[in-house]
Amino acid sequence: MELFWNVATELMDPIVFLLILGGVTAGLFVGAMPGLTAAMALAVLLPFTFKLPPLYGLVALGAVYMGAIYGGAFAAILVNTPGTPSSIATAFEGYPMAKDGRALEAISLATVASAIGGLAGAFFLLVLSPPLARLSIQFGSAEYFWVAMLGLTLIASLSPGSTLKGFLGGSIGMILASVGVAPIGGDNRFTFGMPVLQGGVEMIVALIGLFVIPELFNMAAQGRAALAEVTMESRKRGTFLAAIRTVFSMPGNLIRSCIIGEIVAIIPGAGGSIANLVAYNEAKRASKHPERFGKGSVEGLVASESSNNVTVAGSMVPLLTLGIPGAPPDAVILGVLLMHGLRPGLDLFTVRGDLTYGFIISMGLAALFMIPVGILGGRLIYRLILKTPHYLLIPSIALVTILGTYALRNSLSDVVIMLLLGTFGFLLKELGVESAPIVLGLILGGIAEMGFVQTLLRGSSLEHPWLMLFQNRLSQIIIVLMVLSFASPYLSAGVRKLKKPLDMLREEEPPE
Amino acid sequence: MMRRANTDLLSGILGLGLAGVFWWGRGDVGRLSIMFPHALLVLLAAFSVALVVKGMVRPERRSIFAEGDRGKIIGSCAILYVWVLAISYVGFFLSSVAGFWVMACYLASSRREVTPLLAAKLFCVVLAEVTFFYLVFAKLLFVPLPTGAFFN
Repeated sequence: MELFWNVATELMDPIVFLLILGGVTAGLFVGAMPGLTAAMALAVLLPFTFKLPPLYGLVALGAVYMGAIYGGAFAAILVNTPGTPSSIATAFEGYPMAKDGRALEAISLATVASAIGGLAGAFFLLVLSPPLARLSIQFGSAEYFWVAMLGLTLIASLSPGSTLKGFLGGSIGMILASVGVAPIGGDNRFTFGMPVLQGGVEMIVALIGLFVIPELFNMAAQGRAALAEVTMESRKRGTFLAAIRTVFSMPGNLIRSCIIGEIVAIIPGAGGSIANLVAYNEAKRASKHPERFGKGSVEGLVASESSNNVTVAGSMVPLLTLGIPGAPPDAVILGVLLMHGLRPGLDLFTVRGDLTYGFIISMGLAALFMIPVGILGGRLIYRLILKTPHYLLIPSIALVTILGTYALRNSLSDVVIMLLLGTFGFLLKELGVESAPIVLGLILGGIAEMGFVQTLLRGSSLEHPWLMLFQNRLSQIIIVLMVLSFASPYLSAGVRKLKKPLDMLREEEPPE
Repeated sequence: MMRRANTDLLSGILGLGLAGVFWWGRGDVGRLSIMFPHALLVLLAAFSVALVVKGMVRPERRSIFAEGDRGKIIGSCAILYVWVLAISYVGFFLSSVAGFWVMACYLASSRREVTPLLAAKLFCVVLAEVTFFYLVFAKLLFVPLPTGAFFN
């Protein structure tokens, strides 16, 4: 406890506050630009932290990371482009809200939900690191495969028109994920003799193409930008206090989303890109108004934004305790730790507890700083987008998209792939195959393949190697969850169908 | 172009076509590398066949390419492709200024007459914006943007 107070006092330093403010603002800018990722922002910042004391360096990196994940919500809400893969589900609800004249409300809600998620993540990291770390090492290759399969059950939720078309999109995404050098085996697959395809289809390249390009074409066809002027009613609901009231009026949704975010975050390799979709799906299933999802549901927006910000601090659990970076930005932070001679493990929490706890608390502070920075920045960006005529806005988005895609791997081929996938995605969207299941397939395809092939290799001495997929207790639990997740929409529809005639009969009975 | 189309049938055929292309392009690779993609191709083909069957038995008909000006979609798409393909020849800066400006004038023409004065104003805005992003990416973030043939 004494250590905690010592650290808290150490953080009451104007330089720390300035670093957090600057970091959150810079992260927000990076996250809001499609293609610029949190990992890229941290990598750019890295050389500057070399000259800083270890705590200051970690504080700055943590703040940028937090700001970047949150910043993805801006592009998702205002231009239907998830700035980072962590805000895919934010676009599903935020953009319809913005089109409906509720942009400021969506930004305020996303800000408050993100701040709560960030605080919850820091709290989990502070209090529950050791048990969560033990849980994270239970995940072997078979569990990874089943987690990916569990993720694929979300497709039913992500394809409102036709589940079959959703599965078609999901399998297209998974096949796209298998383009390039095989993760196990090392052969070139589906490259069609083109060396540029050996590197595979980068997930963010596909994400940008599939979400941005169809939206650009739609805006061009309609001859106007999609955002509507904010209504008076929405302006009232968009105030900070109103947003806090709204977010706290759904405690179940908030707690569930934060727990989902934390569980997904401690599985190395999963992260915010999966957490936001799982939380969104569960919010939809638990909602009394699932029909509002996809049309500007506040519940869906809060679920997505709270869960993805939990993952920022959540992914530090395997990093700080086991030295396993759960996501690319964590690898940069691991590099900083090692550079200062700090080895992940127990010593980090005891011998260098001042530094570790300082870093964790500063992440909580960064979550709080997101509120003023986000609400002010959000209003500014909204005004800018609203006042810009469509004939300047559309090419501006195209410019940022091209730059962001190129900057990922300094590859012009990625830009061409992005454009081709975007055009293909536009055609598919017209046919009723949504972009979200394709992106989900892309995210999960690699995880599923690694888990599947590694498990079969581990079981190669057995008569039936595939039985290895079912042997562990954790795998069995995930399989049960998967079956429940897949069957629940059909079960609840069946129950509703059965109840309907009974209700009608009850209504027809004359009162006694 | 079609207004109300059997989208189940069309997406099923598209899926089958895609499965065929990938089946043909799988190459001569080892068992470990291909076992998972094989399973995926079978799944893709199965979902596509299911959609084709649904399209024949109980089709979903919906309007496609029905919203807005279809010409503007094709025009914007063409400008975007030329813009991107020109980057490797004339560099990022020149192709972006030209692509951005042509697209802005083209889209503005749907709402108002593009006079030489408006075109000049747009050019100034485009130049300022592209320069800003060029400086941020090339000088601040150290992204080596393509310079093209003119600046090599």
